[in-house]
Amino acid sequence: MLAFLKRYKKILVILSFPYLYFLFLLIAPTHKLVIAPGGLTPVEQSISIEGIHMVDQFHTIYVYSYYPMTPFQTFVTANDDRMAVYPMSERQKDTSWRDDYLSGQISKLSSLQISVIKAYELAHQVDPSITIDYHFAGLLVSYRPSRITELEVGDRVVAINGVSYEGLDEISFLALSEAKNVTMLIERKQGNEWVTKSVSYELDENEPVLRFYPDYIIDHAQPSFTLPGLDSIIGGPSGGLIQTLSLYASLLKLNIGDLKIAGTGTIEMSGNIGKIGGIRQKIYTAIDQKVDVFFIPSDHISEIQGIDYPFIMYVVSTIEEAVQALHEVIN
Amino acid sequence: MKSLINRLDQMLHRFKKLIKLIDKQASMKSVVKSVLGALLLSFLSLLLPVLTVINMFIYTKHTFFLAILLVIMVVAWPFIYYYFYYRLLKNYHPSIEDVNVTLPYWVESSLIATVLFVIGIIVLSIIF
Repeated sequence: MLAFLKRYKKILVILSFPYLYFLFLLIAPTHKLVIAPGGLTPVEQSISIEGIHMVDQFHTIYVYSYYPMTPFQTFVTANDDRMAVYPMSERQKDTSWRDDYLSGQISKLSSLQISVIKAYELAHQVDPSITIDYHFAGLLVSYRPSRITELEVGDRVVAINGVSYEGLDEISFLALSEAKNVTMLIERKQGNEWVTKSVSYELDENEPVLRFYPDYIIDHAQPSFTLPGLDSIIGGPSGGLIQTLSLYASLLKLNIGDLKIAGTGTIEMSGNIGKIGGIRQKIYTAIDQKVDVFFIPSDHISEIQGIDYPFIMYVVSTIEEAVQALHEVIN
Repeated sequence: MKSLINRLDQMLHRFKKLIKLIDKQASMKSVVKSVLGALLLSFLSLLLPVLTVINMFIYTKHTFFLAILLVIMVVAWPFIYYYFYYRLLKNYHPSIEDVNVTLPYWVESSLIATVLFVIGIIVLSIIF
Protein backbone atom coordinates (compact mmCIF):
# COMPACT_ATOMS: atom_id res chain seq x y z
CA MET A 1 0.00 0.00 0.00
CA LEU A 2 2.77 2.41 1.00
CA ALA A 3 4.74 1.60 -2.13
CA PHE A 4 1.57 2.17 -4.15
CA LEU A 5 0.97 5.51 -2.47
CA LYS A 6 4.62 6.51 -2.96
CA ARG A 7 4.38 5.80 -6.66
CA TYR A 8 1.43 8.21 -7.02
CA LYS A 9 2.52 10.62 -4.27
CA LYS A 10 2.57 13.74 -6.40
CA ILE A 11 -0.84 13.31 -7.96
CA LEU A 12 -2.40 12.24 -4.63
CA VAL A 13 -1.08 15.33 -2.86
CA ILE A 14 -2.43 17.57 -5.64
CA LEU A 15 -5.82 15.84 -5.66
CA SER A 16 -6.17 15.80 -1.86
CA PHE A 17 -6.76 19.59 -1.70
CA PRO A 18 -9.81 19.76 -4.01
CA TYR A 19 -10.99 16.42 -2.54
CA LEU A 20 -11.02 17.76 1.03
CA TYR A 21 -12.56 21.04 -0.14
CA PHE A 22 -15.46 19.25 -1.85
CA LEU A 23 -15.85 16.90 1.12
CA PHE A 24 -16.21 19.95 3.35
CA LEU A 25 -18.84 21.44 1.00
CA LEU A 26 -20.82 18.20 1.08
CA ILE A 27 -20.85 17.47 4.81
CA ALA A 28 -20.26 20.66 6.82
CA PRO A 29 -23.47 21.87 8.51
CA THR A 30 -24.62 25.47 8.06
CA HIS A 31 -27.22 27.22 10.23
CA LYS A 32 -29.72 27.17 7.38
CA LEU A 33 -32.94 25.30 6.68
CA VAL A 34 -34.51 24.46 3.33
CA ILE A 35 -38.19 23.86 2.58
CA ALA A 36 -38.77 21.96 -0.67
CA PRO A 37 -41.94 20.93 -2.51
CA GLY A 38 -43.22 17.52 -1.42
CA GLY A 39 -46.32 15.53 -2.30
CA LEU A 40 -49.96 14.71 -1.53
CA THR A 41 -51.39 12.30 1.03
CA PRO A 42 -54.97 11.09 0.53
CA VAL A 43 -56.97 11.86 3.69
CA GLU A 44 -58.63 8.42 3.47
CA GLN A 45 -55.23 6.98 4.54
CA SER A 46 -55.34 9.01 7.75
CA ILE A 47 -58.94 8.59 8.95
CA SER A 48 -61.57 5.90 8.47
CA ILE A 49 -65.17 5.88 9.63
CA GLU A 50 -66.95 2.63 10.45
CA GLY A 51 -69.50 1.70 7.78
CA ILE A 52 -68.81 4.80 5.67
CA HIS A 53 -66.72 4.98 2.51
CA MET A 54 -64.32 7.91 2.85
CA VAL A 55 -64.50 10.34 -0.07
CA ASP A 56 -61.17 9.75 -1.81
CA GLN A 57 -60.68 13.12 -3.58
CA PHE A 58 -59.29 15.03 -0.57
CA HIS A 59 -55.54 15.34 -0.12
CA THR A 60 -53.33 16.99 2.45
CA ILE A 61 -50.06 18.46 1.20
CA TYR A 62 -46.68 17.89 2.76
CA VAL A 63 -43.41 19.67 2.08
CA TYR A 64 -39.89 18.60 2.98
CA SER A 65 -38.10 20.56 5.66
CA TYR A 66 -34.43 19.76 6.01
CA TYR A 67 -31.80 21.19 8.33
CA PRO A 68 -28.97 21.86 8.74
CA MET A 69 -28.14 22.40 5.06
CA THR A 70 -24.64 21.76 3.73
CA PRO A 71 -22.74 24.54 1.88
CA PHE A 72 -23.27 22.55 -1.35
CA GLN A 73 -27.06 22.55 -0.83
CA THR A 74 -27.00 26.28 -0.08
CA PHE A 75 -25.11 26.82 -3.35
CA VAL A 76 -27.43 24.73 -5.58
CA THR A 77 -30.65 26.15 -4.10
CA ALA A 78 -29.47 29.79 -4.21
CA ASN A 79 -31.28 30.62 -7.47
CA ASP A 80 -34.17 28.17 -7.20
CA ASP A 81 -37.53 29.92 -6.68
CA ARG A 82 -39.19 26.64 -5.70
CA MET A 83 -37.00 26.29 -2.62
CA ALA A 84 -37.15 28.46 0.48
CA VAL A 85 -33.97 28.84 2.49
CA TYR A 86 -34.15 30.35 5.97
CA PRO A 87 -31.67 30.80 8.78
CA MET A 88 -32.43 28.26 11.52
CA SER A 89 -34.36 29.64 14.47
CA GLU A 90 -33.10 29.26 18.04
CA ARG A 91 -35.83 26.67 18.56
CA GLN A 92 -34.66 24.60 15.56
CA LYS A 93 -31.02 24.78 16.66
CA ASP A 94 -32.09 23.48 20.05
CA THR A 95 -34.21 20.60 18.69
CA SER A 96 -32.82 17.16 17.93
CA TRP A 97 -34.07 15.19 14.90
CA ARG A 98 -35.84 12.79 17.27
CA ASP A 99 -37.67 15.59 19.09
CA ASP A 100 -38.52 17.22 15.75
CA TYR A 101 -40.11 13.96 14.57
CA LEU A 102 -41.99 13.49 17.87
CA SER A 103 -43.20 17.09 17.72
CA GLY A 104 -44.59 16.48 14.21
CA GLN A 105 -46.43 13.41 15.49
CA ILE A 106 -47.88 15.32 18.49
CA SER A 107 -49.17 18.14 16.30
CA LYS A 108 -50.66 15.61 13.86
CA LEU A 109 -52.48 13.79 16.69
CA SER A 110 -53.94 17.06 17.98
CA SER A 111 -54.89 18.14 14.45
CA LEU A 112 -56.66 14.84 13.76
CA GLN A 113 -58.56 15.02 17.08
CA ILE A 114 -59.79 18.56 16.38
CA SER A 115 -60.63 17.70 12.75
CA VAL A 116 -62.81 14.79 13.88
CA ILE A 117 -64.57 16.92 16.50
CA LYS A 118 -65.23 19.86 14.16
CA ALA A 119 -66.37 17.64 11.27
CA TYR A 120 -68.79 15.69 13.48
CA GLU A 121 -70.15 18.92 14.99
CA LEU A 122 -70.69 20.46 11.52
CA ALA A 123 -72.25 17.26 10.16
CA HIS A 124 -74.52 17.06 13.26
CA GLN A 125 -76.12 20.35 12.19
CA VAL A 126 -77.27 18.63 8.98
CA ASP A 127 -77.80 15.09 10.27
CA PRO A 128 -78.58 14.90 14.03
CA SER A 129 -77.82 11.16 14.11
CA ILE A 130 -74.12 12.05 13.84
CA THR A 131 -72.92 12.80 17.38
CA ILE A 132 -69.68 13.25 19.28
CA ASP A 133 -68.73 13.62 22.98
CA TYR A 134 -65.29 14.81 23.98
CA HIS A 135 -63.42 16.60 26.71
CA PHE A 136 -60.25 18.70 26.99
CA ALA A 137 -57.56 16.60 28.70
CA GLY A 138 -54.58 18.98 29.01
CA LEU A 139 -51.70 20.16 26.83
CA LEU A 140 -49.14 18.03 24.99
CA VAL A 141 -45.55 19.32 25.05
CA SER A 142 -44.37 19.91 21.47
CA TYR A 143 -41.18 21.86 22.26
CA ARG A 144 -39.22 22.54 25.42
CA PRO A 145 -35.69 23.98 25.72
CA SER A 146 -33.36 20.96 25.70
CA ARG A 147 -31.81 22.05 29.02
CA ILE A 148 -35.12 21.21 30.76
CA THR A 149 -34.30 17.51 30.71
CA GLU A 150 -37.10 16.51 33.12
CA LEU A 151 -39.66 17.43 30.48
CA GLU A 152 -40.05 15.37 27.29
CA VAL A 153 -41.79 16.04 23.98
CA GLY A 154 -45.17 14.28 24.20
CA ASP A 155 -45.68 14.75 27.98
CA ARG A 156 -49.24 15.70 28.86
CA VAL A 157 -49.49 18.76 31.14
CA VAL A 158 -52.47 18.39 33.52
CA ALA A 159 -51.80 21.21 36.00
CA ILE A 160 -49.84 24.48 35.86
CA ASN A 161 -48.79 26.26 39.06
CA GLY A 162 -51.36 24.23 40.99
CA VAL A 163 -54.27 24.93 38.62
CA SER A 164 -55.74 21.83 36.97
CA TYR A 165 -56.94 21.70 33.36
CA GLU A 166 -60.31 20.46 34.61
CA GLY A 167 -62.89 23.18 34.39
CA LEU A 168 -60.70 25.29 32.08
CA ASP A 169 -60.74 25.53 28.30
CA GLU A 170 -57.67 25.22 26.07
CA ILE A 171 -56.98 28.98 25.80
CA SER A 172 -57.27 29.69 29.55
CA PHE A 173 -55.06 26.71 30.44
CA LEU A 174 -52.48 27.66 27.80
CA ALA A 175 -52.32 31.20 29.20
CA LEU A 176 -51.09 29.77 32.52
CA SER A 177 -48.00 28.30 30.79
CA GLU A 178 -46.81 31.76 29.72
CA ALA A 179 -45.52 32.60 33.21
CA LYS A 180 -41.71 32.78 33.66
CA ASN A 181 -41.64 30.54 36.73
CA VAL A 182 -43.71 27.44 36.14
CA THR A 183 -44.36 24.22 38.02
CA MET A 184 -46.15 21.66 35.92
CA LEU A 185 -47.80 18.40 36.80
CA ILE A 186 -47.27 16.10 33.85
CA GLU A 187 -48.42 12.64 32.82
CA ARG A 188 -46.04 10.44 30.81
CA LYS A 189 -46.76 7.06 29.27
CA GLN A 190 -44.08 4.55 30.24
CA GLY A 191 -44.85 1.15 28.74
CA ASN A 192 -48.50 0.53 29.55
CA GLU A 193 -48.60 2.79 32.59
CA TRP A 194 -49.12 6.52 33.01
CA VAL A 195 -46.62 8.09 35.41
CA THR A 196 -47.33 11.46 37.07
CA LYS A 197 -44.42 13.83 37.69
CA SER A 198 -43.86 17.43 38.79
CA VAL A 199 -41.50 19.61 36.74
CA SER A 200 -40.38 23.16 37.60
CA TYR A 201 -38.46 25.58 35.40
CA GLU A 202 -37.65 29.25 34.97
CA LEU A 203 -37.26 30.57 31.43
CA ASP A 204 -34.25 32.76 30.62
CA GLU A 205 -34.79 36.17 29.04
CA ASN A 206 -33.92 35.24 25.42
CA GLU A 207 -34.92 31.60 25.54
CA PRO A 208 -37.58 30.25 23.12
CA VAL A 209 -40.86 29.63 24.94
CA LEU A 210 -42.38 26.17 25.28
CA ARG A 211 -44.89 24.99 22.68
CA PHE A 212 -48.00 22.93 23.35
CA TYR A 213 -50.85 21.32 21.44
CA PRO A 214 -54.24 20.64 23.04
CA ASP A 215 -55.17 17.04 23.82
CA TYR A 216 -58.85 16.27 23.34
CA ILE A 217 -60.16 12.86 24.35
CA ILE A 218 -63.11 11.69 22.27
CA ASP A 219 -65.35 9.72 24.64
CA HIS A 220 -67.94 8.65 22.12
CA ALA A 221 -68.60 9.15 18.41
CA GLN A 222 -71.46 7.93 16.26
CA PRO A 223 -70.44 6.57 13.74
CA SER A 224 -67.16 5.40 15.29
CA PHE A 225 -63.83 6.12 13.62
CA THR A 226 -60.18 5.09 13.64
CA LEU A 227 -57.03 7.09 12.89
CA PRO A 228 -54.65 4.93 10.81
CA GLY A 229 -52.74 8.10 9.89
CA LEU A 230 -51.14 8.08 13.35
CA ASP A 231 -48.86 5.26 12.13
CA SER A 232 -47.50 7.35 9.24
CA ILE A 233 -44.08 9.04 9.54
CA ILE A 234 -45.43 12.27 8.01
CA GLY A 235 -46.23 14.69 10.82
CA GLY A 236 -47.43 18.23 11.37
CA PRO A 237 -50.69 20.08 11.95
CA SER A 238 -51.20 21.55 8.46
CA GLY A 239 -53.70 18.93 7.32
CA GLY A 240 -56.35 20.12 9.80
CA LEU A 241 -58.54 22.07 7.35
CA ILE A 242 -58.62 19.46 4.60
CA GLN A 243 -59.07 16.56 7.04
CA THR A 244 -62.12 18.28 8.48
CA LEU A 245 -63.61 18.89 5.02
CA SER A 246 -62.96 15.28 3.96
CA LEU A 247 -64.62 13.91 7.11
CA TYR A 248 -67.55 16.29 6.72
CA ALA A 249 -68.08 15.27 3.07
CA SER A 250 -67.77 11.57 3.94
CA LEU A 251 -70.15 11.72 6.93
CA LEU A 252 -72.81 13.45 4.81
CA LYS A 253 -72.01 11.30 1.74
CA LEU A 254 -71.56 14.39 -0.46
CA ASN A 255 -70.96 13.73 -4.14
CA ILE A 256 -67.71 15.48 -5.07
CA GLY A 257 -67.49 14.08 -8.60
CA ASP A 258 -63.98 13.41 -9.84
CA LEU A 259 -62.38 16.62 -8.62
CA LYS A 260 -58.95 16.39 -7.01
CA ILE A 261 -59.15 18.59 -3.90
CA ALA A 262 -56.17 19.63 -1.81
CA GLY A 263 -55.46 22.31 0.73
CA THR A 264 -53.53 23.38 3.75
CA GLY A 265 -54.12 25.14 7.07
CA THR A 266 -54.33 24.20 10.72
CA ILE A 267 -57.63 23.91 12.49
CA GLU A 268 -58.43 25.29 15.94
CA MET A 269 -61.32 24.42 18.24
CA SER A 270 -62.73 27.90 17.62
CA GLY A 271 -63.04 26.94 13.92
CA ASN A 272 -60.31 29.35 12.84
CA ILE A 273 -57.93 28.22 10.11
CA GLY A 274 -54.34 28.93 11.12
CA LYS A 275 -51.10 29.66 9.28
CA ILE A 276 -48.66 26.98 8.20
CA GLY A 277 -45.03 26.91 7.03
CA GLY A 278 -43.80 26.61 3.43
CA ILE A 279 -46.94 27.91 1.70
CA ARG A 280 -45.18 28.65 -1.62
CA GLN A 281 -43.70 25.14 -1.70
CA LYS A 282 -47.20 23.74 -1.04
CA ILE A 283 -48.58 25.69 -3.99
CA TYR A 284 -45.77 24.32 -6.21
CA THR A 285 -46.59 20.82 -4.97
CA ALA A 286 -50.28 21.33 -5.83
CA ILE A 287 -49.28 22.51 -9.33
CA ASP A 288 -47.00 19.47 -9.81
CA GLN A 289 -49.73 17.11 -8.60
CA LYS A 290 -52.37 18.67 -10.90
CA VAL A 291 -55.03 19.41 -8.27
CA ASP A 292 -58.35 20.98 -9.35
CA VAL A 293 -59.36 22.85 -6.18
CA PHE A 294 -57.10 24.28 -3.50
CA PHE A 295 -58.01 25.66 -0.03
CA ILE A 296 -55.64 28.18 1.56
CA PRO A 297 -55.78 30.14 4.86
CA SER A 298 -56.54 33.83 4.29
CA ASP A 299 -53.43 34.84 6.29
CA HIS A 300 -51.22 33.49 3.48
CA ILE A 301 -52.73 35.25 0.50
CA SER A 302 -50.03 37.96 0.34
CA GLU A 303 -47.25 35.36 0.33
CA ILE A 304 -48.24 33.60 -2.89
CA GLN A 305 -48.17 36.58 -5.22
CA GLY A 306 -46.32 35.93 -8.46
CA ILE A 307 -47.16 32.23 -8.63
CA ASP A 308 -49.18 31.27 -11.68
CA TYR A 309 -51.43 28.41 -10.55
CA PRO A 310 -53.87 26.54 -12.79
CA PHE A 311 -56.45 25.49 -10.15
CA ILE A 312 -59.45 27.13 -8.44
CA MET A 313 -58.31 28.59 -5.14
CA TYR A 314 -60.58 29.21 -2.13
CA VAL A 315 -59.25 31.58 0.52
CA VAL A 316 -60.81 30.82 3.90
CA SER A 317 -60.36 31.98 7.47
CA THR A 318 -62.80 29.68 9.28
CA ILE A 319 -63.98 26.11 8.79
CA GLU A 320 -67.51 27.39 8.23
CA GLU A 321 -66.27 29.42 5.23
CA ALA A 322 -64.48 26.31 3.95
CA VAL A 323 -67.66 24.22 4.21
CA GLN A 324 -69.56 26.90 2.32
CA ALA A 325 -66.86 26.91 -0.37
CA LEU A 326 -67.06 23.13 -0.58
CA HIS A 327 -70.80 23.33 -1.27
CA GLU A 328 -70.02 25.91 -4.00
CA VAL A 329 -67.56 23.43 -5.54
CA ILE A 330 -70.14 20.65 -5.50
CA ASN A 331 -72.86 22.80 -7.00
CA MET B 1 -26.37 -23.05 -27.67
CA LYS B 2 -23.91 -25.87 -27.20
CA SER B 3 -21.00 -23.69 -28.27
CA LEU B 4 -22.06 -21.01 -25.78
CA ILE B 5 -22.08 -23.56 -22.96
CA ASN B 6 -18.69 -24.82 -24.12
CA ARG B 7 -17.31 -21.29 -24.17
CA LEU B 8 -18.66 -20.64 -20.66
CA ASP B 9 -17.17 -23.90 -19.46
CA GLN B 10 -13.80 -23.00 -20.95
CA MET B 11 -13.99 -19.58 -19.38
CA LEU B 12 -14.77 -21.05 -15.96
CA HIS B 13 -11.89 -23.46 -16.37
CA ARG B 14 -9.51 -20.63 -17.26
CA PHE B 15 -10.85 -18.54 -14.37
CA LYS B 16 -10.21 -21.35 -11.87
CA LYS B 17 -6.71 -21.86 -13.24
CA LEU B 18 -5.86 -18.18 -13.03
CA ILE B 19 -7.21 -17.87 -9.49
CA LYS B 20 -5.09 -20.87 -8.43
CA LEU B 21 -2.05 -19.28 -10.05
CA ILE B 22 -2.63 -15.97 -8.25
CA ASP B 23 -3.30 -17.73 -4.92
CA LYS B 24 -0.08 -19.70 -5.26
CA GLN B 25 1.99 -16.55 -5.68
CA ALA B 26 0.20 -14.32 -3.14
CA SER B 27 0.72 -14.58 0.62
CA MET B 28 -2.04 -14.28 3.20
CA LYS B 29 -0.50 -11.09 4.57
CA SER B 30 -0.37 -9.35 1.19
CA VAL B 31 -3.94 -10.43 0.35
CA VAL B 32 -5.24 -8.95 3.62
CA LYS B 33 -3.29 -5.73 2.98
CA SER B 34 -4.60 -5.55 -0.60
CA VAL B 35 -8.20 -6.13 0.54
CA LEU B 36 -7.98 -3.40 3.20
CA GLY B 37 -6.22 -1.02 0.82
CA ALA B 38 -8.75 -1.67 -1.95
CA LEU B 39 -11.65 -1.15 0.50
CA LEU B 40 -10.17 2.19 1.58
CA LEU B 41 -9.40 3.41 -1.94
CA SER B 42 -12.76 2.32 -3.40
CA PHE B 43 -14.53 3.98 -0.45
CA LEU B 44 -12.65 7.24 -1.02
CA SER B 45 -13.33 7.07 -4.77
CA LEU B 46 -17.08 6.75 -4.33
CA LEU B 47 -17.45 9.00 -1.27
CA LEU B 48 -17.71 12.32 -3.16
CA PRO B 49 -20.18 11.19 -5.87
CA VAL B 50 -22.37 9.40 -3.29
CA LEU B 51 -22.40 12.45 -0.98
CA THR B 52 -23.25 14.69 -3.94
CA VAL B 53 -26.25 12.51 -4.83
CA ILE B 54 -27.38 12.38 -1.17
CA ASN B 55 -27.13 16.20 -0.99
CA MET B 56 -29.32 16.46 -4.09
CA PHE B 57 -32.17 14.56 -2.40
CA ILE B 58 -33.61 17.97 -1.40
CA TYR B 59 -34.93 17.99 -5.00
CA THR B 60 -37.81 15.69 -4.12
CA LYS B 61 -39.13 15.65 -7.69
CA HIS B 62 -36.01 13.73 -8.71
CA THR B 63 -35.92 11.33 -5.78
CA PHE B 64 -36.44 8.24 -7.93
CA PHE B 65 -33.76 9.25 -10.44
CA LEU B 66 -31.33 10.00 -7.60
CA ALA B 67 -32.06 6.63 -5.97
CA ILE B 68 -31.28 4.91 -9.29
CA LEU B 69 -28.00 6.86 -9.47
CA LEU B 70 -27.15 5.60 -5.97
CA VAL B 71 -27.86 2.02 -7.05
CA ILE B 72 -25.61 2.50 -10.11
CA MET B 73 -22.83 3.71 -7.82
CA VAL B 74 -23.31 0.74 -5.50
CA VAL B 75 -23.16 -1.58 -8.52
CA ALA B 76 -20.00 0.19 -9.73
CA TRP B 77 -18.30 -0.31 -6.37
CA PRO B 78 -17.08 -3.95 -6.90
CA PHE B 79 -15.46 -2.97 -10.22
CA ILE B 80 -13.53 -0.18 -8.49
CA TYR B 81 -12.72 -2.40 -5.53
CA TYR B 82 -11.31 -5.25 -7.65
CA TYR B 83 -9.39 -2.80 -9.83
CA PHE B 84 -7.54 -1.51 -6.76
CA TYR B 85 -7.27 -5.01 -5.28
CA TYR B 86 -5.36 -6.40 -8.26
CA ARG B 87 -3.30 -3.23 -8.62
CA LEU B 88 -2.21 -3.54 -4.99
CA LEU B 89 -1.63 -7.28 -5.23
CA LYS B 90 0.58 -6.78 -8.28
CA ASN B 91 2.40 -4.12 -6.33
CA TYR B 92 3.13 -6.58 -3.49
CA HIS B 93 3.95 -9.46 -5.86
CA PRO B 94 5.57 -8.23 -9.08
CA SER B 95 5.46 -11.84 -10.34
CA ILE B 96 1.66 -11.49 -10.71
CA GLU B 97 2.33 -8.73 -13.23
CA ASP B 98 2.76 -11.45 -15.84
CA VAL B 99 -0.56 -13.10 -14.95
CA ASN B 100 -3.55 -11.98 -16.98
CA VAL B 101 -5.98 -10.78 -14.25
CA THR B 102 -8.59 -9.45 -16.69
CA LEU B 103 -10.76 -12.55 -16.52
CA PRO B 104 -10.75 -12.91 -12.67
CA TYR B 105 -11.35 -9.15 -12.42
CA TRP B 106 -14.44 -9.20 -14.65
CA VAL B 107 -15.87 -12.47 -13.26
CA GLU B 108 -15.51 -11.52 -9.59
CA SER B 109 -16.65 -7.92 -10.07
CA SER B 110 -19.65 -8.98 -12.15
CA LEU B 111 -20.75 -11.59 -9.60
CA ILE B 112 -20.68 -9.13 -6.69
CA ALA B 113 -22.24 -6.38 -8.87
CA THR B 114 -25.11 -8.71 -9.82
CA VAL B 115 -25.84 -9.50 -6.16
CA LEU B 116 -25.73 -5.79 -5.25
CA PHE B 117 -27.90 -4.94 -8.24
CA VAL B 118 -30.60 -7.43 -7.13
CA ILE B 119 -30.47 -6.05 -3.55
CA GLY B 120 -30.69 -2.49 -4.97
CA ILE B 121 -33.75 -3.34 -7.07
CA ILE B 122 -35.46 -4.95 -4.05
CA VAL B 123 -34.73 -1.88 -1.88
CA LEU B 124 -35.98 0.48 -4.62
CA SER B 125 -39.20 -1.48 -5.09
CA ILE B 126 -39.84 -1.40 -1.32
CA ILE B 127 -39.25 2.36 -1.04
CA PHE B 128 -41.07 3.51 -4.20
